Amino acid sequence: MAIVYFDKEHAKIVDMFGDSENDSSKRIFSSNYEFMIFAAMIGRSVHDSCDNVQINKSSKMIKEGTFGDKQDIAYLLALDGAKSGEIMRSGNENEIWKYLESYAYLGCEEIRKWIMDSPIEDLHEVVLNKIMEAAIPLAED
Amino acid sequence: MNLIKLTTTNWRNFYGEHEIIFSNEESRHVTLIHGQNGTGKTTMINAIKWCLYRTTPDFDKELDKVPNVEIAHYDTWNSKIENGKVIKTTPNDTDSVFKVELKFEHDGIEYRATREAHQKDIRGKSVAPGKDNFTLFKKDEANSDKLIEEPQSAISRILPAELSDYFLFSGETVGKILDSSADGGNGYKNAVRDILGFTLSDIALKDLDQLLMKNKRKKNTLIQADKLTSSYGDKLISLNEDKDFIDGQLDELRKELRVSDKAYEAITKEISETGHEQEKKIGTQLKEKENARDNEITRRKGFIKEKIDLIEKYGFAIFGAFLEKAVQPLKQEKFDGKLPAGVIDTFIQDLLAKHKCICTRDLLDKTTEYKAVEALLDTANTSVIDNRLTKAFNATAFFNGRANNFISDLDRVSSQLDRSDSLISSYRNACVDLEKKLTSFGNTDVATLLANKKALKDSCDKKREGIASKTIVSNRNKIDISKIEKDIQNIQTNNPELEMRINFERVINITKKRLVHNQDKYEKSARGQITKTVRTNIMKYSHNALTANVDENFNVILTVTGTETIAAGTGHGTEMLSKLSFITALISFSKLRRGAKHTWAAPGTIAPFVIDAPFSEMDEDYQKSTLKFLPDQSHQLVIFLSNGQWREHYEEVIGDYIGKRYYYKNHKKPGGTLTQSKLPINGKDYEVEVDDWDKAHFGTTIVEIK
Repeated sequence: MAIVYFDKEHAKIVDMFGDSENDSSKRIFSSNYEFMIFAAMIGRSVHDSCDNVQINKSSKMIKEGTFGDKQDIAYLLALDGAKSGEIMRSGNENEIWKYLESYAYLGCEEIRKWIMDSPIEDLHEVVLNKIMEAAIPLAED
Repeated sequence: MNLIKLTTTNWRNFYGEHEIIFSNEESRHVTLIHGQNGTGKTTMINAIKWCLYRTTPDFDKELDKVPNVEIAHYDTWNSKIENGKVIKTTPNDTDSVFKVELKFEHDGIEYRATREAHQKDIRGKSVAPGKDNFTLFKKDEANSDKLIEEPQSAISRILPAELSDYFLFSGETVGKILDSSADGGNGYKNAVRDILGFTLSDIALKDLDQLLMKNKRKKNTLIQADKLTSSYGDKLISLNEDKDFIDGQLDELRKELRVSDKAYEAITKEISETGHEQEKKIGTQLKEKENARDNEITRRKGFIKEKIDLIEKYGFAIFGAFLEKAVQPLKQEKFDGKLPAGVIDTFIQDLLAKHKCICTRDLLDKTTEYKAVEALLDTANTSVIDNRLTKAFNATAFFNGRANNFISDLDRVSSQLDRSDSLISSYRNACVDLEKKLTSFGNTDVATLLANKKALKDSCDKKREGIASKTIVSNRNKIDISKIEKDIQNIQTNNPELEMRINFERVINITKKRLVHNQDKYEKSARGQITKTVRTNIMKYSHNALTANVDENFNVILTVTGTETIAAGTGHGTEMLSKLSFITALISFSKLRRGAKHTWAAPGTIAPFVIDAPFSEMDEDYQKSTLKFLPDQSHQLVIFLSNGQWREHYEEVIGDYIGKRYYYKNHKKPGGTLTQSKLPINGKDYEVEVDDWDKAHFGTTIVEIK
């Protein structure tokens, strides 16, 4: 069974976004995996490659069984990263998850910048503003 | 009645002889006396009361503590002046006489009332009975003084003692004087009726009742004695006795009910002034607002959660939306069967298992051909790859139309949140306002007041029931008596005295009815006039939008203009304004009827309005307003005004009405502390306090301002 990890550096960010936050009304993501997918998408949106990323494994890990249908996103990310269907071959699972981990790393870095740019604002407001910025060019008239 | 001159000798702190000449000029009928607090303003009103009625003056608590202060110059109790020097004396010093002389005019005749006593005759707070000497002189046609034999009775006819409180009073005690609940309302209402001129007609009614009673007794005896009517006589007497008894009980009950009703009104007012009902109402409103606020806060939390959830719902899809395009070429390759390769692993495995190549050659183990085909497995497509690729491409479906949905969902939730924030803010503000209102009520033992109110209500209800049932019995009696009397009337008794008694009774009853009818009519008209004056004053001068009404017991009722809501807690200034307005309106009405000599009602009591400290608890606006209407609505006005309450700009309001003006000069021991030394009037400063005790004067002297 595959296990994916957040980098040690991002343990605090994971706490802020993931399921370890105590107040459920303020919890942004329902699970750490949901956050990882989100972070990975951000990472991928700002970086074309994650080749140079080295994960320093933290205690923030996610077991494959908890991925649910969002596992498909991990395949998509890996396919986009490898640009070849070969990545999907059985036995390449670590490679597949590596893409997810690495882009999540890059995404967490980006999020860290957002937080530093707006230290007083509510975290969810900061994130929603960023989503809105990304959504506006995509919106259809 | 008009005051002409007041002369005091050794009267309390006014050592030696002092006089105040009162203004009697028609357009300048105000006499204004300025005095520092504690220098003898009330003392001079008390001098008038003592002179005319021998009443014990109503002193304040502080002075009350000093023994023997009621009468005489307590400051000089152990001192007197000889040759300009203060020397010791004793309370028994026979030289120490104190005297008050009051000259006044009534119905065109000048009177001089004098009362004097010796210090040695003071017992406790007053002069020992019989030890004071009262004389009253009037000027005859030859302008000589003529001694009046029964001076006290004469004074009672001019201004009865019980009415004097309405003309000679201190602003601080006006509430007490106008307290209609003090004695069940009768004393107050009767006093007002007396001022209005009801005295004679009220006495006439009482006399008529007496006549009726006497006549009835004699009539019934005649009925009993007459042969033709004797059978009715016993019954009639017994019925009349029953009726008198029940009517007596009814009178008592009605009197008690009046007292209880007044007490109930007073306690209701007291409860209303605590703001209890209002407090309860505001408490409920606060609870409602707090609940609404808390509910909205919960709703807001829901909106925040909904907003936060948008991040998980849309975030990855919006940031990853470009992936759909990015993997499009790969999707096409897969569609074309090129991704990853055209061969699938199961086909190769099948060839290896059958040891037969598609080119029909044998694939023997470990042969070059076998290994070549086996090597194809490394690059062959597999079901796992196929499955994962399908999933990967299908995942792009997550991204379709997400941006539009996100924007519209965020807009919706944001506006719900804005609305919620504004509601919470308005609820919070309302709560703060209501809390402020609640804290302003303070702590009152409302529970006890409410319990007392309930007990009073029960007592009133019980009395009303008693009155109702006794009235039924009394009416039944009346009907029975009337039937018998009718029967008797039908009998030709040939008894002229009996006939005369029956006729007399009828005439007296008609007279009574007319008198009561006239009284009602007159009282209503008087009340209407007084209401009009008080209403005008309140409308013109009150700080609040209030309407004044005078009820049947002559109480001034203030309501919030345009409503029937009783104005509670209007403040002492407004209350004082309404009370002074009432008194001046009363005097004003009596003045109007000065010449009403040929009507059934006597002319009202006309007397000067002498008032001390009228501004008690009034602010400057009210003080100025009071100075505006008091002269207009008074016949002769004497104001003892505290220096501390005098403002130079009041001159423009009252200046033109002042005919005589004085100030008190307080003489202190040399070296003493002078608290207020100057009184500014018309640009000039008057010295009101000096430390010249041992020169010639001490205590207080009166100085006229010309």
